[in-house]
Amino acid sequence: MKIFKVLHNQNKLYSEITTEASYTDQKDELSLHAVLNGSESYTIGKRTVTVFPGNFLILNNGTRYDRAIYSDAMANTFAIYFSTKFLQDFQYGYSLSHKNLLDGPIDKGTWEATTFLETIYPCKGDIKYNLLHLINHFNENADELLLDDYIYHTLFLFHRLYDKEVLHKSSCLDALNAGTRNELFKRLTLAKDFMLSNYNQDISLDDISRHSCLSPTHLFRTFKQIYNCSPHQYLIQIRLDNAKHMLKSTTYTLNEIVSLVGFTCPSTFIKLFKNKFQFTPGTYRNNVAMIH
Amino acid sequence: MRGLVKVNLRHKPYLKTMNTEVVNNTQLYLNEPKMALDFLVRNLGFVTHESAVSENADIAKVCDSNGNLYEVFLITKKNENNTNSLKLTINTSDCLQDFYNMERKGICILTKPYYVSEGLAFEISDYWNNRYILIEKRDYND
Repeated sequence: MKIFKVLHNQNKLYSEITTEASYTDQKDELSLHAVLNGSESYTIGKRTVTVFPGNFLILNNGTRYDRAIYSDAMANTFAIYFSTKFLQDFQYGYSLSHKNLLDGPIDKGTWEATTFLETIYPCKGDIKYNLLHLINHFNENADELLLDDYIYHTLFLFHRLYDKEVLHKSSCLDALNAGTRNELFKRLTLAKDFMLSNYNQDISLDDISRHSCLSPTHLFRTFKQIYNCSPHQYLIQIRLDNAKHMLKSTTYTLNEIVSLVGFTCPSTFIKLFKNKFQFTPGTYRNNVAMIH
Repeated sequence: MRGLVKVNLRHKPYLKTMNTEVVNNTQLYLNEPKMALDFLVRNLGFVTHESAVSENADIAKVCDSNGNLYEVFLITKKNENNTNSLKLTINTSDCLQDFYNMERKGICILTKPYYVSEGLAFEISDYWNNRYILIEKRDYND
């Protein structure tokens, strides 16, 4: 099932629920792609990233990509395409002071869209709540002006997240040269995306370092500078977060979840889960069931 | 001039799983109790739980949209100057939707939605200049 809506200001919302779909050579405006259930893979140039629940992908205006869904269970995906006019107004409002906005006039001929790092971002905190509300209202066919409010807030929250996840984190790298720092950060982002996309596979530090074009030693040292943990610890966190999502939103048994998120030993999984969340997977599932 | 009425909203948890914070000792100054409750019911999604307010009643029970029960105490205060009105905090499950609906209803909106450490909030006021903060509390540890 697909729902596609073009709003009065040319922003577009798209939702799809399916087990199988494939779209090649797509090219859009700045877009945000999230997944509520299942997963969706995107091929951008030579790299492929897979978006799972709890994350979203940002693609810039003009980026060519293929996307595909192949899933045993129903995958539920959602995307926002921000129109150029909307972005232009937003970015003037976001970047200029009230005085400059009032003093105008703004020369829109010289405007250039901000280019974001095309990577997987965590869908947590305010942006998660905002997207969930937006999806609900979109499915209920709410008024366009209300949807616009949510889109505006989503973009605002994304800018805030971008400052935290990209600008702040890249500044934590101890490379002196800005160009080196940016390149190193991009490669570390490749490592992070590779782990987020393949967390359910048996992947090693060598695999990650190969995909990020960094030596294992260099990867290990620099990864820790921005994510405050080793690549292996980061991978464990991703697996535990996804296991938590599955415990909450699926009926898979514990053993099935253990193998679906890439663990081999249930007792190790339970121990790690308890260390991170202070309760066992069984207790968590029971608590969630009681609340709902 | 008609005497002002002080409304004490004392919060009592209605359901165990519901949010049980705020609202203790909050006072609203109102000219007319019926109209005061009418504002809560019409614009803030409250429902009268037990007794409707009459000219003689001094307590009414109302529920907010999350199921929290409030006891409303109505106390007449003559010639009270309502310049330092307190803010009554009310929980909402969808702040932007409430903001959108209240804007359409023409309610006096004091601020646009803004992000705070607990979630998303905005402020409104009623006919008597009582201020309300509507807040959507969010769990950032989830």
